[in-house]
Amino acid sequence: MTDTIEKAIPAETPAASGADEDFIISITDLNKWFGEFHVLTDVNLKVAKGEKIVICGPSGSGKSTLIRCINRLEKHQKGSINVMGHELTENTKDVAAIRKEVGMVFQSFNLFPHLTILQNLTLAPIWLRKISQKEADKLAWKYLKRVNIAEHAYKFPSQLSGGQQQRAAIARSLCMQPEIMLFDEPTSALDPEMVNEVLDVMVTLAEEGMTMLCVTHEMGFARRVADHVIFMDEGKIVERQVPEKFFTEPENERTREFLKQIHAIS
Amino acid sequence: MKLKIKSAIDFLKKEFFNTPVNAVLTVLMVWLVFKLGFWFINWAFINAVWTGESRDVAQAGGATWAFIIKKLRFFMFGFYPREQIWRIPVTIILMIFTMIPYFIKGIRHKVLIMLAQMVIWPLIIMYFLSGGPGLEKVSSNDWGGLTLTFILSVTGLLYSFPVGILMALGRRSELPVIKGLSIAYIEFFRGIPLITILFMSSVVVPFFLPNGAAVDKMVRVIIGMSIFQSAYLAEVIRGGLQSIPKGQYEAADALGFKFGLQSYLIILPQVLKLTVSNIGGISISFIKDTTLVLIIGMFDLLGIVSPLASDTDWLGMEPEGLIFAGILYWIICFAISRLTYKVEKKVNELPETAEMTGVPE
Repeated sequence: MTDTIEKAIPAETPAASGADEDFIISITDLNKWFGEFHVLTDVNLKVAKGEKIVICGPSGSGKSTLIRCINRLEKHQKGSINVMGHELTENTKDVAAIRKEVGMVFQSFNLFPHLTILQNLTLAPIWLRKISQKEADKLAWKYLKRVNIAEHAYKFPSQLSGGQQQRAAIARSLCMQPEIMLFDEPTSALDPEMVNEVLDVMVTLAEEGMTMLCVTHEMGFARRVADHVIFMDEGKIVERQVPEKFFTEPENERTREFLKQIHAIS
Repeated sequence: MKLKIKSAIDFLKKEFFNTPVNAVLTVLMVWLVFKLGFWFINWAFINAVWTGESRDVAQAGGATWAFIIKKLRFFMFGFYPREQIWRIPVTIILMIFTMIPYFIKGIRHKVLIMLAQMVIWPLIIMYFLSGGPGLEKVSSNDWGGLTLTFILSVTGLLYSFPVGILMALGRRSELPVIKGLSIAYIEFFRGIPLITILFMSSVVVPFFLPNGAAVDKMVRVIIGMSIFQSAYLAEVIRGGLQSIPKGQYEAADALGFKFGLQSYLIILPQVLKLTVSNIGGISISFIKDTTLVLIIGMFDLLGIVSPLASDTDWLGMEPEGLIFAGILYWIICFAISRLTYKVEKKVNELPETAEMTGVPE
């Protein structure tokens, strides 16, 4: 049975990826299991350049897993993921090519605690983009100013508040000059008063035209920024809508239930 | 003042004389401590003999430290020829010089210094201790005493370090072959006693070497001991690797760091900070374990006591010799323990925030 499904997926022909050229990310029939648990079922998702997509859904719906599959923090078992023409396979070269284009921001910031904020930002550009220390510093300062924490550049992550750390983490990703940014519940671990400073940075980023995939429950952010809101439940994309429609007249019963629960329906 | 005495008496009553049994035990212990203390002070200092040419100067109930003083050269340098002894301090000083780059701020990749030391140290030791052009040959059989303990300890620790780190990383590898080999290495060498490894390296290995390819026993022993130590180190470092949050690996992955750079730049610096005290601990054990080489006929600081005390002039001086060796070991190990503690404190407090050079325009 598995064979038939695999055959049904179009082979990774150049023609296929050529047809998707309008899309910066195209995910086709993605399936993933954690052991017996079917965490993603036949997920299809196409993202155009510059598009901002907010993904929401109840916990355990597979939304984090979905975006973690895009840069191979999780392996998928079936289906295809194509990012900017690179097909995501076992091949480490493809993985590296994709990771180069995709930045990621985590719920728990994950700054490197043994390095200063400035060093956190310059580490990857120096070692992976092979630019000089001077250039890397210049780049880092640019982004530190943009996320508004330049005055903390010489501090260590543990000396910063959660909101400051998360902004530094965003700046760290930006220093690699990615085409796409993935956000995995970037404000969930923050104290309420720090949520906005992080969201503000993300809004600015969106306004600058960055392609963004964002797992979040910040519905205000979704309304303001998203081109599309995706609702996921039990490993499936249940609904994909423009925000106006998503929040006022969602098509699916489960979406309505979910929005009611988080009091976001208007 | 009166109050102080009163509270002291209260304290004694409460802690030491609260029941009849405790009172008896307290009296007994105090008596024992004083008795032994007096005996030791009498033996080690009051009745001790500090000068003399043979055991004839020994006094009943007193230590003959004259033995240690007379034989100090052997305790320090083993049977190294007297007129060549200057070469030992030269060797040690040169080795210490190679440590200087570690303290130079401009050098970023301290691991390169260690790799350089792995080449330079044996060259220094080979040339100055063994001899070479311009220097008389001294067989490694004549190395002994504290010198031998030093050579075995520092070279063993130096070589075990990179191997241990590689094995620990290998054990976490996703490649089954590398992972399997690392596990086999670690579990095999942790599972056999050091003495077995020493016997193997001194007795068995020469049989398997091709004719004419003699490797000095010293080299074989150092290799054996490094292998043994690296297996233990690998386990300590693996423990550290496991305690690094998963998010650190993911963040490094997401930025595009592959295994090697990721380990070197992000994971290992954190692991080494976490494991400083454990590494210090197993290093101390290792230094003490070097005493086992006496079983394969090498005369390290401990092993040299017995031949020295068989000197017909100094028969029966083992107690003094053993106590002296014990004191030296204690000083070395205590020093390392304090050093580890200091290093641990230093790496765990946040480094001073670098000079704020201001935000560039």
